[in-house]
Amino acid sequence: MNKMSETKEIKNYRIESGIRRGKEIKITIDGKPARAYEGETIGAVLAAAGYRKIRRAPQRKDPRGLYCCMGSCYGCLVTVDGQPNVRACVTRVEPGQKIELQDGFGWIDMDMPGPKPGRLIHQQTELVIIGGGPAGLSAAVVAAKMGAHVLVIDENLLSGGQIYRQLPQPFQVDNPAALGIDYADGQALLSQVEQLSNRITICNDALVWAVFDSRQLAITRGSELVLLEAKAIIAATGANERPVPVPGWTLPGVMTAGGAQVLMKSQRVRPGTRVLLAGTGPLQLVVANQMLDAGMDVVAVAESASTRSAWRYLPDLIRQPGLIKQGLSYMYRLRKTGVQMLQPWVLQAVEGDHQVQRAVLGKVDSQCRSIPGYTTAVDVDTVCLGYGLIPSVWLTTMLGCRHVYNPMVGGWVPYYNEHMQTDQTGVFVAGDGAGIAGVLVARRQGTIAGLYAAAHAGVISTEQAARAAHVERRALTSLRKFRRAMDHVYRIYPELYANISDETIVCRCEGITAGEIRNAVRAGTLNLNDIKKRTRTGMGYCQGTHCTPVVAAMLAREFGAKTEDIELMTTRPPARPIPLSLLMGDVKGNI
Amino acid sequence: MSADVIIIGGGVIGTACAYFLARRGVKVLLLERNHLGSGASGATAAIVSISGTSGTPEALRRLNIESYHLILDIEQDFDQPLEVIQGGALYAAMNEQEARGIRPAYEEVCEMGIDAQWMKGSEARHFEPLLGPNVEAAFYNPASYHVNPFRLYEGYLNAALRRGSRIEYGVQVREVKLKDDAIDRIITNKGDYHADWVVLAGGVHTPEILSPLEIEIPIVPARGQVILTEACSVKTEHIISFLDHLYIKQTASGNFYLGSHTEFVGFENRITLEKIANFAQVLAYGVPLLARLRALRFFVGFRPICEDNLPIIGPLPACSKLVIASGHGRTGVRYSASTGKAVSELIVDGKTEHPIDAFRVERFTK
Repeated sequence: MNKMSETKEIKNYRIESGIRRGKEIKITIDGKPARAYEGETIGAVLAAAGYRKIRRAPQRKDPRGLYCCMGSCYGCLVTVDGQPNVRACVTRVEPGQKIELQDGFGWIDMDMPGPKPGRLIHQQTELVIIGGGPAGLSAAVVAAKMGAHVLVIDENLLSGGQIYRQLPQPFQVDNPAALGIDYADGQALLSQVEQLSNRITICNDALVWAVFDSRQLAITRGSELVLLEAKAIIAATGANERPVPVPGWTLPGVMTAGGAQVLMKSQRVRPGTRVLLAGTGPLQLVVANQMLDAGMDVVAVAESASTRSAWRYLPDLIRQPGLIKQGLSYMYRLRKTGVQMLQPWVLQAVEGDHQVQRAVLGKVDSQCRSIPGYTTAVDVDTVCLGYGLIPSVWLTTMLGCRHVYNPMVGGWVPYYNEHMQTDQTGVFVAGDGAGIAGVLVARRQGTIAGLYAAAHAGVISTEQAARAAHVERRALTSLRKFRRAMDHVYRIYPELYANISDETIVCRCEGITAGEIRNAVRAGTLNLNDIKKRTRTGMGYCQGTHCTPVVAAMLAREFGAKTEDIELMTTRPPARPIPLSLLMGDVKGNI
Repeated sequence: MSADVIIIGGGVIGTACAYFLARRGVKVLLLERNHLGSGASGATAAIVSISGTSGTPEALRRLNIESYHLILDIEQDFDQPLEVIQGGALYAAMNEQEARGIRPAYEEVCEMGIDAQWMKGSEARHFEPLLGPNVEAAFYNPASYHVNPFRLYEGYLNAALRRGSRIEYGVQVREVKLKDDAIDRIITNKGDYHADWVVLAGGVHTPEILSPLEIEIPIVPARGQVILTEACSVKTEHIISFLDHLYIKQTASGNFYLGSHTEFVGFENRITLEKIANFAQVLAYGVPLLARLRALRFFVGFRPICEDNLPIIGPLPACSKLVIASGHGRTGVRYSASTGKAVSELIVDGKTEHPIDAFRVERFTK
């Protein structure tokens, strides 16, 4: 079986259909020349060249590869021109770059010129929107139409967020249809933004990393440190993928469904050759179809939810006949292509020598409990995990907003009122960051938030905002009912976390295993901050994004903690690691 | 709920008291309002040095030297290594004036019989390659090490638990009721507790626990802002200190811990750009590598500091069964073992090996 997949191996992982890449540029990887094109990320170049293992983790020396592909997991750190720990997945290739794969922490070459000291800039705006996805851009468009001056801060290299992911500028699109409907929708929204460019400023590759006194946002943009004050703030920060560890999930070749999408949609690179998708919800079907389009061999799709009870929610599900029809057509195509559709099955383990070679799956019941005796293994080189999303609430937490635990979302969400305003006056939320609800809801919430934020900033009256928001609200009611039904059908049960062996790494950054965490809990604590201090879980680069939901799930499932009683880990700035050089400029004199 | 001794506060002082009492066979119940080390003990570089100034009372020096050795000794009794990094401390001066400024501290250390070394800038750089060209002079104090603070208080606690002690989390003590020279009861959010003795090791919260007794002790929160960097393959075992108590140390996992000024701003727990930028600059001026690293976390700690910079160790004048062990300021980890030992001696033997009169509560309550 292994031999067969080897012979089938694709040498060129680039997807050539639909687009033309930028100019070919010369770079080296570990001293060897590698093919790269303008606009590609280092991660895409590595993936395209067939590199699975990118780095050895410092603590356990285990191999790691691309995992999240969106700059959040810090698993793909490489050394670029002597600068170690650069995220390959969100860093563009430049001509002449020397890329070295890292063993552990990498080496800092003090003979290389250091980073430029930061330059402090004070800035004011009427409305700032954090996040340039569907929610953020919808808010920007409506607020600008109403006359507001809007600044959109987005940490991504390109606007559009996860779903409307665009292609890098040097890429030329010959056949937009090949890129799917989301690409086209994103293009339409972005062209609206473009038309309002006199009032909307988009700031990409910029990170809000702290909130200082009197609601000043600290933003990094290259070597600039911007202190921004705004009359109104909209947090449209989106979501992170729900981590569901199993033995072997840190192996190169295991990546998130969203990560695989980034590679395919925005870099036009195949994440692998033979793929298993394991997760829950319709996104899996979307990704599996995109993979078929990309010419990949989708071996199986494992859905953890038994959708047998879906008929109970039928009245609400048929509120969105278009979406249901789309889902069914995806499923039909997968079955017709011969993709194994395993339902309800979950991923139990990933195996392989230094990279994914095999995945073990097990059958579960309607509450995700394992059914003994029903297991199967598939030979694959790539495993995509897609167990849904968790709202990213870092910013709203730092802004002091009240959060409530939402059992259907399986996470904490900011409280908001019908104006999409949080309990902090002038702070609004929209989109998946306010609770996972998908692109259609995100756009409408964004519009409502944009209107009321414009009103808060004094650009329009509250009555004007209310009138304009009315039509959005009616549509939202229907969408919400649909969403709630979907949430019920694709519920996350505690038993989803039943396959975390003691040896399974839970904290990917610090290499902390489930066994170490369990020992700490047995020593007498159910507190996330305490577990962090005792074990180092959550102390690494990703700021706990990819481990705290797992620890919380373990506390609930194994140790009887009530999920809603589990205190969030204390939020510390920065949101993501920032270079200390940023603080090295003339900061003191300016404050 | 009852025990021989109830200790209020699960920080490094409370757990150390629990450990030394448990070693003497005392059944201890520790009450912690939040989680282990959730106060100052959770935000410290955990540096243990033998050092002082001409103003350091003799009694404090004794505790200092005793604690320095005790912590290293009792590591054997702990179930996990303390991650001791015993590389000594370098005190760097960036110009002539600063060099004159650190000279007295060097002489003090020498007088204490420690084999300290004075170095010119070039010698210092040779000794510690992380030092940059701006270092004018430095002295090296070999009697300095640092540990993983989480491991230290967890070690104290687990060794006490092994000997039959207990701990309860989420118990907030509101008041200790006294009856003549005895403890009547301890009133908490989880009901009343009873014990023969109470050790109050509440750190910055000690004053509020004493206030129903109308006893005022001048312990205030002294905020320190901290920067923790990403881990790094460049390694140093030295603690590198600069003027104004600014220092860096590298943890066993490779991260640099950068601290810290002292600010008196109550319990305001947000970092300020001004401070972190200021001390990041000062430190990077001495150690240029820092400007190449990224900050993983900024946070603050509130050290319980007494107005005369000395800890409070000893019984309340009104009740000999209520012992206070608080107010260690920046040096809780450093004095933890000797404080715990002294408290255990006070309770078990009625007297302490080293005099602790200098730390009595009476100095404030007269």
